[in-house]
Amino acid sequence: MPHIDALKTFAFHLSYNESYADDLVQETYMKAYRFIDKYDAGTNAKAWLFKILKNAYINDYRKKSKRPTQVDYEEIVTYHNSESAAGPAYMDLRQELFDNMMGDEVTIAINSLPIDFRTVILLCDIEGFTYEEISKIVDVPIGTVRSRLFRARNMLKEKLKSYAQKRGYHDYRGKKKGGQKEEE
Amino acid sequence: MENKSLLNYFSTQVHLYLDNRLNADSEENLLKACDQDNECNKLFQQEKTFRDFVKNNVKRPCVSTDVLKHIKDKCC
Repeated sequence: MPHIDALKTFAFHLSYNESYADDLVQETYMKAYRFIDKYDAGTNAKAWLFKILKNAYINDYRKKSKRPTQVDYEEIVTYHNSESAAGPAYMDLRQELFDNMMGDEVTIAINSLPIDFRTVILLCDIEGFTYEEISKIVDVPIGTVRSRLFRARNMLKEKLKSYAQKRGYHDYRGKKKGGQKEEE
Repeated sequence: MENKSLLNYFSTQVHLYLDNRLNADSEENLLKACDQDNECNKLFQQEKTFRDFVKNNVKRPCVSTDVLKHIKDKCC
């Protein structure tokens, strides 16, 4: 079954629910099968399937929630107002930070991002889609894909950094000579 | 590389390079900067490590055999 594992990963991170992710994958293949005449042979089948899954999730989400939560809405409004901002602020992470992590925290951190930001990270950094493909899957201009990715990665770094700090890693750069990690 | 705006510019270039969005000239300039400036090189390596870490550690649950069978029954 082509791309089924990648679709399951995408569905799982959209919904953070394995059983619902299975339903989404199943629905995606059913729709693809039903609307196969809409698919242009020779074009990117993986991107087409991802778009079907994303739309299925968004439709379900809209049905289930009467309106987005206040936090997500504020996040998106703030984001859109600064959409044309030139580039990302430089966000530094020490390499040692990663040594203290097991992997689960990556999943938790990704799943805590607002949906628009989570989606682009999953499509670009996990699945390797190009900006053009992501633009078609999520129906936003390429410039928006780019700015969302920059913002999403910085948010993810912040979350991973906070997680590392909670686990006992402290960044002493600029405060004290040495800057070694310290276990609590 | 002490200037903050230069650091942000370089950070943007690194992002775009790792996303395969730089043209040949910009790529060459970036790689040259990495060779010549330790701070640039460090920043480049950190971003690459971050991307690899995320990609390699994200949870990738498998599709259950029941779901696979159901899809195959309906579609094949």
